[in-house]
Amino acid sequence: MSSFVGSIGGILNTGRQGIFVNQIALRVTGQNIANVNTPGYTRQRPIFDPSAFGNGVSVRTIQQLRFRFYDAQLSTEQQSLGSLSVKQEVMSRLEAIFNETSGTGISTAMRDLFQSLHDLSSHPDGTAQREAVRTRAGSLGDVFAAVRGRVEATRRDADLQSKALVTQVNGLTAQIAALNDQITRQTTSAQAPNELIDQRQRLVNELSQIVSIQTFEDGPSLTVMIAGGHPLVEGVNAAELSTREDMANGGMSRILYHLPGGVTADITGRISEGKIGGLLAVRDGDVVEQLRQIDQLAAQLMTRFNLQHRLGTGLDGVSGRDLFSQAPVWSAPGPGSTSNVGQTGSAIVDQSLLTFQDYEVRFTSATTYDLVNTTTGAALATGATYTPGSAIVFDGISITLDNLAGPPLAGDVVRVNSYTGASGSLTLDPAVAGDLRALAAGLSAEPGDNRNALALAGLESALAMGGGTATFANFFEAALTRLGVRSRQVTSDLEAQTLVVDQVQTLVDSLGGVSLDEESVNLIQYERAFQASARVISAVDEMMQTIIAMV
Amino acid sequence: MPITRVTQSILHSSTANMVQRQQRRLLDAQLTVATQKRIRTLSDDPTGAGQVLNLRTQLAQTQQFLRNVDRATSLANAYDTALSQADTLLARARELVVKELNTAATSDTTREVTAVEIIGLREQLIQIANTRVGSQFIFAGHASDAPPFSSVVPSAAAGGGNTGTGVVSQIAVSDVSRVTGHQYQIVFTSPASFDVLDVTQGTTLSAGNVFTPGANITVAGITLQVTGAPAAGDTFDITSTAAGAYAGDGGEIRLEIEDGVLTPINLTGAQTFLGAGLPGGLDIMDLLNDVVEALRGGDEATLAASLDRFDAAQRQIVGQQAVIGGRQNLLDSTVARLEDAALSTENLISSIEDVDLAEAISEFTRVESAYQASLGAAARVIQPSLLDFLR
Repeated sequence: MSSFVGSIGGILNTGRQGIFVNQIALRVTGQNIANVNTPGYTRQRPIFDPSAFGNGVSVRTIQQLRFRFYDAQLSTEQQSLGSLSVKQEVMSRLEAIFNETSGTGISTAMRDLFQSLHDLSSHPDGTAQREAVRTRAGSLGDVFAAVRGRVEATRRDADLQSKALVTQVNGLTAQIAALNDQITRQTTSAQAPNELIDQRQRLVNELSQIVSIQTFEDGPSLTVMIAGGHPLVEGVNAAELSTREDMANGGMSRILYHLPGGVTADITGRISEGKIGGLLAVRDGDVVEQLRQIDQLAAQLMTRFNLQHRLGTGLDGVSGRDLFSQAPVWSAPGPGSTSNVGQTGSAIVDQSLLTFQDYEVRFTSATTYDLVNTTTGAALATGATYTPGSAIVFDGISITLDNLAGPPLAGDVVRVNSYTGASGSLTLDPAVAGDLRALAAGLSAEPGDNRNALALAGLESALAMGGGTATFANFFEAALTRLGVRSRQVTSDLEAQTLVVDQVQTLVDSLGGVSLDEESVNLIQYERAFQASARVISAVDEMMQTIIAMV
Repeated sequence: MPITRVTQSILHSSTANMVQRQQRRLLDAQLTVATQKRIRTLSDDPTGAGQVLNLRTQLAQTQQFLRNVDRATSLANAYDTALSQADTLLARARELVVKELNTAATSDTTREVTAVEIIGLREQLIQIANTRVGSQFIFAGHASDAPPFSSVVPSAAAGGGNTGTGVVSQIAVSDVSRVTGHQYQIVFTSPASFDVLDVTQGTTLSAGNVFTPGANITVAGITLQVTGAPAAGDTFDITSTAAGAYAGDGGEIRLEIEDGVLTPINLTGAQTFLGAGLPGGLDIMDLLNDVVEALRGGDEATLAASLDRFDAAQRQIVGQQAVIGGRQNLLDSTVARLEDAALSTENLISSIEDVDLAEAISEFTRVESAYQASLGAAARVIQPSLLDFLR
């Protein structure tokens, strides 16, 4: 029976524990209230354990209201949000560059050129009309170059931004690794360092917006895996990301992964989400596509004009001149190829044969190659002999390849086409630029002959693009429409994703966020318990007084 | 997704998000009203934006075609005027010939008067055929930078056996009405005197003329100067081309007046005045030259026969006028069509990219009141706290 009749000292102890425990609870409540506006803070609550045999109470642990599943979901959704947000920024920048609704740009410049050619057909001998054609043709080239320059700048900026983000990733992973270390050291069997865990989770959320990651808990420390299953943070170790210029892709960055004392890998193709993923995708996707479209337009436009202009005769009696510079011959090593072989010379040998399709010289050994039109899949040559420094001629293009850094390896690829860069090099032929009489308005040198001017003006309605299905203007409109549709898609995806993230964030907050009303109630509750525990002690005190007075 | 526990951060962030969204909508509605454009960026309506661009190209083309039609019309009017003048002129020439044929007693003198008058008409016709619009000679074909028709052009050549140093330094027509088209010869009988022969008729026009180097010598309306020291027996041949030689070409000039429609806009002198390429075409210049010659030669038969040729010439000119009239009709109907097309294209563009203002404003009002309502609700949700009631 003695166990039920606790000593007076025991009661005193129970009261002391009550005061102590409720004081802790008040401290936790105070902490919650203080952090009501701290981003990433998760509310805490004390878990009380009643002591056995009525011996009071103790705090087992201070628990964080965190649900791993919600955290993981938030991280995943933020990766998509990060990706979409940068895509949307780049797309709206592209849209602004191609904003033809305001009436300045390629479409207007083309219209002006055709208009001046019509005027020339009315007055084939007019100096003013000739000057107008020359000026308009020149400014069409300028507009193309300006648009190309701005698109390229957009691409470079996207690349620079991704580089800066890589540095940011390295900073974040180092901090996460450091926190892993602190958390591991401070975690006891009873208590985890809650605030440090909050801090780590906030860094992980920040990291999710930048790059695609997966996380899992490994004891008290958190492992962060980047795309492709490489650990970005493992225990106290953080991997380093770095960038390397890719010559096969116009000097754009590739993302390299390196774990100190571990593997090094190129993970460029594996980062699909987060801001870096979004930037890589839009940089090598929509932006490149848009460049391709204007290059195609410029290359085919200059070639069609040249072919027609060659048929005419200038007032000086000379025929067979180009109006514009000729389409450029572009070449670059294929992805993954060595740069052993490079272009040392090139020429357009016959403009009328140009296809504006893509070709690949595929080396099958140091001395043989296959030549493939990758647009149609047709093989133009198989097992041809490669002689370094001699020209390879096909479809109007002549390209001289030479061993710049050694013989080609089997599997090396050189990509070739006759349009990349055309929008940056649409300039007037020097003869026409230098002498108005060189402009071939007629099929003869007679000043009243307007037949060639008519034919040149007629190119406006010619189905010159897309394999004879579209005019120049149609082609450009289709490219713009495609850009608009893509941009609209990205914008609406972004809006939807923002809502998803808001919802998941609401879930997280609903569980772990601080409610001031709730904390106020807790405050009163714990304060009352504290007061009551104090009353227990004063009651015991009175009891002791009574007993002492008995003596 | 039901939220079981509402916290301060949920309240704040959802309020902020909601107000953000409403503000975006408000801005959008406001821009729509302010610009009155439904499509401000490509992504507002990608298909519509593409369509508008396409229509703008069409519109610019149509307006260009209208300018081309304008040009073609002004040329057609110039041709019409020139042809009317030519017709009047031919009628007058025919009248003169009829009068000459009907006069009972004609003399060399009266015939010469008529001949001179017809030469005047011929010169006028050459002027008409050399009509310019701007800098272009409209009857010259492609060679439009120089007058296509020339009047008589005299030339002189020193005889092959000349021994002196005399050369013809200048030669020009001084009186076109006296130019005959005959070949003449100046024969030096001594270094100081010369005779003038009409080689065509085998007559001597004058003999024993005193030669002064550099002085004007006038032979049948042609004035020339001989400088240097000609020797006895030296000769100089004087010839002149027939009036109305054509230096233009047969180049046809076309303009695009509708998509793919290349319409001819010029008439060449070769066709109109020389009858080249016309069925039963007649060389009108030749006719006038023949008439002058017949008058001077008293060739009644040729004169009588010329009346039919005059009729044919007038038919030829009227025929060309009909061609121009046909073109004018085509151009007029094309203008009407093009203007209709331009108007409907403009309407189409407007219907795609412009907003219905009433609709835009009512949409703006709707968004505005939704925004105000959400602000009001937010203000009342955020404010109160349990703390306000704990006293």
